[in-house]
Amino acid sequence: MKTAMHLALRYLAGRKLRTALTTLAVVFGVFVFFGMNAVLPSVMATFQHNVQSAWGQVDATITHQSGEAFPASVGAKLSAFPGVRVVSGFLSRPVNLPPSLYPAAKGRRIPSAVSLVGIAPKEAAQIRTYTLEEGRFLTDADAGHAVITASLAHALGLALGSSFALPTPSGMARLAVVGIRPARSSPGNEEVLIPLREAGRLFGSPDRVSALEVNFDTFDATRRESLHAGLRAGLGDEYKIGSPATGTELFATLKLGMYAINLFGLVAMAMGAFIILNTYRTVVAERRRDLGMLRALGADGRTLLAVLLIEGFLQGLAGTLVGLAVGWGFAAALLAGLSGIMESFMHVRTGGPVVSPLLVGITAVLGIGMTLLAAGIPARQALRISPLEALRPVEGKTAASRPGKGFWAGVLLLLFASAAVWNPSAAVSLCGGAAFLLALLLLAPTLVRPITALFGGLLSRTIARDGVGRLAQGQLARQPSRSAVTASTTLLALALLVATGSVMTSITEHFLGMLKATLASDYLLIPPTVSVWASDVGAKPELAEKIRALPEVSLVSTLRFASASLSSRPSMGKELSGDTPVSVLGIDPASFPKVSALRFESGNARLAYPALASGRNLILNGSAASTTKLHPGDRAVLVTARGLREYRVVAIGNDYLNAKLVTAYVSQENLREDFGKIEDVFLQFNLKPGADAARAEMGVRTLLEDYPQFRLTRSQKYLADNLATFYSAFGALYLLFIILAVPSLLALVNTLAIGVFERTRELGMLRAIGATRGQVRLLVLAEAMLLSSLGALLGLAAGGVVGRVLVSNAEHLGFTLEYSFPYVWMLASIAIAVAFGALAAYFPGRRAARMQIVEALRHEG
Amino acid sequence: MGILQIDELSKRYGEGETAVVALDRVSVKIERGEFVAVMGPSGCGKSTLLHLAGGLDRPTSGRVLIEGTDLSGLSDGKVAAIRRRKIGFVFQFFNLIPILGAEENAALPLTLDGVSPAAAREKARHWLAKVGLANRGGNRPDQLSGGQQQRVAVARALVAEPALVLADEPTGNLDSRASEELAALLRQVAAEWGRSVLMVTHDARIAAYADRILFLKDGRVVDETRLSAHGNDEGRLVRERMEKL
Repeated sequence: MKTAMHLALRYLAGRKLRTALTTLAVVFGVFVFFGMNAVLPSVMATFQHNVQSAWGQVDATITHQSGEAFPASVGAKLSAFPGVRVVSGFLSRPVNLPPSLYPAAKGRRIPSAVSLVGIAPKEAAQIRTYTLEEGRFLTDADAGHAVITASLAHALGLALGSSFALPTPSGMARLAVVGIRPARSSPGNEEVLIPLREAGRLFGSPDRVSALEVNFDTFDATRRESLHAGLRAGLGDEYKIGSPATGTELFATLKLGMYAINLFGLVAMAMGAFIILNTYRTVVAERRRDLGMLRALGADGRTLLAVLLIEGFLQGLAGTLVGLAVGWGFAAALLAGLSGIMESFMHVRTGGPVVSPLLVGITAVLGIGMTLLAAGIPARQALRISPLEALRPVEGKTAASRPGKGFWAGVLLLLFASAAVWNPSAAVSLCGGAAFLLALLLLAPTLVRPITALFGGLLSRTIARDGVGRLAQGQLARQPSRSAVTASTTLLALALLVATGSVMTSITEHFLGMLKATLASDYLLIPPTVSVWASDVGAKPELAEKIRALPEVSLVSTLRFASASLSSRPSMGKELSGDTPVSVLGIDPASFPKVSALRFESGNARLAYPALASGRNLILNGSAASTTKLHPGDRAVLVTARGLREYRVVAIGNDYLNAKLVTAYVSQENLREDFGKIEDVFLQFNLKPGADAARAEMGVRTLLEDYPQFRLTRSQKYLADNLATFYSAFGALYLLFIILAVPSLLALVNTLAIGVFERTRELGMLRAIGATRGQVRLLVLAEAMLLSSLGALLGLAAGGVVGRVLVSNAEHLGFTLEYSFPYVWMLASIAIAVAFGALAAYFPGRRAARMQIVEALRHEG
Repeated sequence: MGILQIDELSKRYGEGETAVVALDRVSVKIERGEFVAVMGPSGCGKSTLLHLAGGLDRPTSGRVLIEGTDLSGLSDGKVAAIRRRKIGFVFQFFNLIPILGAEENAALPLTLDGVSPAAAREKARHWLAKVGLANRGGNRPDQLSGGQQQRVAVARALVAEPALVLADEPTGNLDSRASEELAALLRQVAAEWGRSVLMVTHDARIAAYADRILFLKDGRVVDETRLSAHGNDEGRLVRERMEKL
C-alpha cells in the first residue's frame, strides 16, 4: 500500500500537465452538476414568481374579519411561516375626485374616484409584475411620488414629472408622477400607487394594512393545503384567508416549468459523469506502457490498481473541492446576472445559490465516486494485457469495429422506443422518449464511423483539404467509444435544447396562431374584462351601427354574451354527467370569420358558420368539448333563461380569448331568440383599404364618449402586449437552456487537449514530414467539428423525438398542443455545435501547432 | 552544388555556465546519390545534426542548404514546404499514423501538399511496390511487422521524390535480419534511385552499407572514411574506428 501511495503521488507530481487536465475534468463535472443544482431553487422561485405575477395570481389574501385595516406586523409573523415565499401588505382607500379639482374636459372621461393604494415596493414587485410604459417604479425612499396608469394620466391630462392633487384625511396631498403603467383593463377604480409608509401617514393609519398577499414556495397541492391550514391556525378567527380560484393553466405552466427544471438537474448530473468518465478512459489508455513496465518489474495487478485508484481518489477529492467552489461561484455569478435582468424588467431580485447538505453529499459521491469508477474500470481492462504486449511501442491500436453488447442493447431500446413513443399512454410514450435517448447513447460508438465518414467527406471538400479531414475522421474512428462519450455531452445538451425548443415552439405557435386568428381585425373595442363577459357592461347594437356608418370603416363584427348551462337531462340530448355552466357567445356568422377566425379541431369553417345561420346549431370550443364529451353531430340541451333549447353540435373550434372557458358559439339571431340578449360586449372592425386611420380612430373615440366602458386599441398592440406577458413568463428558461450547452464546450476542450497531448509524437511526425502549423491547427479543428457534428446530429434526433413526445403529452398538463417543428431551435443548436467545436479547438489546436518538432518526436506518450 | 550542404553549423542549448554545445562548427556536403552514415557515441550530436539538416530545429549559427536553398531565414511554412517536397524522413519508431493504411500513410506527404488523393495513392502504390510491399497497401500499421512498418516509412520518405532522405536510427527498433534488409534498401535508395541519404546509426554493420561515414565526438566531426565495398570486413573496420573514438 505504501508503494502504491508513493507511486501514485510521484505520478501525480511528475506529470503535472496531465494531472491538471484530469483534475480539471473532475472540476468540470462537479461544477456543472453542483453549480446548476445550486441555481435551480432560486430559478424555480423566480420562475414561480414570474408566472404567478404575469397571471396576477396570489396564493392567499389575508384580511381582517371587520374589513378594516389591521397591524402590518401580522405580515412579519406570516413571513416567518415555513413555506411562505413572500408577504406583501397594501393599504387601499377610494378617494373621490371633486369636480372642482378635475372639471370635465372634452375628449376625456374624468373618473369620479380613484383608489389610492399604499404598497411596499420591493415585496409588491415580488407578488405582481408591474410593467411600466414610462418612468420608474416606486422605492421605499419615495415621498410625494406616485405611479399611475396611462388611462388615468390621459383622463387627468398628466404626464411623467407632472404633479396632481388628491384629497386625503390629512388634507390635500400633492403627488408627482414618477412612473406610468399601461392603461387599466380590469374592472374597478383606477389605481394611484404610493409607498405604504406615505399611505399610512395620509390616511392616519400608520403601520396598518388593508390586506396582506402571500405567495408560497410550492405548487404541490397537498403542501399548499397544509400551508393554508397552518396560516388559518396561526392567525386565528380574527382574520379571513382568501385563496383565489387557481387557474388550471397557471398550474399547468408551473408544473411544466418544474419538470423542465428538474430534467435540467438530471441532465447536468449525466453530463458531469460523462466528462469525468471520458477523461479517465483516455488517461488510463495512455498509461498502458507504464503499467506494462511496472508489471515487468514485478508489480502485481492489485498494487497497480491501487496506484490508479489512489490517484483517482486524490484527483476526485481535489477536483470535487475545487468544483464545489467554482460551482458555487458560477451559481452566484449566474444568479447575480439574472438578478440584474430580473430587477430591470420584472422588479424582482433572485436569491443566492441554495446549497443543501444533500446536494453537497450527492456532488461528493458523483465527484469522487465517479472518478474512482472511471479510473477503476479501464484500469482493470488495461491490467489484463500481458506486460510484454503493453511494453511494445505500438502507436495505438484501432478499436474493433464489431458491435458489442452496448450496440445490441441500443438496438433493443430503439425498437422499444419506436413502438412506445406513439403509444397513447403518457407513461409509455414518455418512457419511449427516454429509451430513444438512451438508445442513441448506446449506439453512438457504432455510429461514429458512418457519421464521421459523412461529415469527414464534407470537411475534406471544404475547410480540411489535403488529407487533414481524412486524418481527423480516422482519429475519431480509431477510438469510437471515446469519441462517442465526448460527443454524448453535446448530444445531451442539444437534445435538451431541441426538446425544449419543440415544446416552446409548439406552445408559442399554438397561442400565437390562435391569437392572430382571433385578433385578425384592424381594431378592437375592449371591455374592462376580456373573457369574464358576465361582469362587462356592453353596448346596444347602435354603437356597432354608428361605427359601421363611419366612412373609413369597412366591416364591424361583435360578440354577444349569455350565461347558460349544458343540461344533463337526457330527454332531448346526449346524457351528460351533470349540468355544465357555459358561456354562450353570439356571433354574426357572416362577418365574424372575417375578423376572428376560429381554429377548428373538428369540422370546418366552410360548413360550420353557415350552419349557425340555419337553425339551432352551435360550435363548442375545446374546453367545452372535453368537459362535456360532446362531438359534432351530437345534440346538446342548453338551459336558457327562456327554458330548455336543443342545439346540434356542428364543430369544435377555439378562439384565443375564450380558450380557457367552457364556451359555445351560436348565431346572434339565436342568442336574441333564446336568451333575449342583443348587447355587444366585444367589437372588432376593419378599415377600408387606404382609409385614414387617424380620422377613423378619432371618429370612434368620439363615439366612445358615450361608451366609456370600451377601450379602443389596435389589434397589433393588443397582440404585442399579450405576447410580452407570455414571453416574460418563459424568458428565464430560455437563458437557462442556453447555459446548459456550455459544459459540452468544456468537455470538448478537455478531450481535445488530452488528445493533443497524447498524440504529441504523431503530430510532431506530421510536422516533420511537412505539415504546416496551419494544417496541424486545422486537424485539431476538424476533429472538434466532427465531434460536435456527431453530438449535434444525434442530439437533434434525440431532441426531436423527445420534444415530439413532450408536446403530444402536454394535454395531460392542461394544454392541447399541435406539434410545431422547432426550425429555429434546430438551427440554433447546429450553430451552437459548430461554434463550440471551433471554440473548443482553439487552445488545443494552438498548442499542437506550436509544438517544437524535435521535442514532440522525443515524446514518450 | 551538393544536395545537402552544411556550413559551420553549431547548436548550443542553454546559456552561460550551464550551456551545452551539441554541435560545434560542423561542415558536411553530400552529393546526389550519396549514402552517408553518421556515427558516434551517445550525446555526440548525431541526432542534432540530422534535425538541423531537416529543418526540424534552428541552428545557433551556421547554415543548411538543401539543393542550394538556405533554410536559415525561411519562414516556418516555407521550411515545412521544403520538408514536404525535398526531404524524406525515416524515424526509429516508424511513426506511422495508426488509423491509416500503408498506402495512405505512404501518400501522406503528397496529400498534405495538396496533391489529389487518387494521384497521391497511385504514387504511394508505386513506392510500396518498390520497397517490396505491393500487396500490403490496405494494411494498417498494427497489421504489419516492424520491418514492414519501416519499409512503409521508407516509401513515405520517397513518395514526394525528394532529393534527400534523412534516417534517424532507422534500424534501432528492428531485429538484425530486418535491419540488414533495411540498410540494403537505403543503399538501393541512394545507388539505384539517385537519392542522397544521411543516416544516423550506432550500428557499425548498418553504417558499413554507406558510401561514406562521418564520426562525431563532442559535437565535432573527428573522422571520416569512404567505403568502396560493403561487406563484413568493412563492418569490422567501422567498428574498430568507432572503438578508437
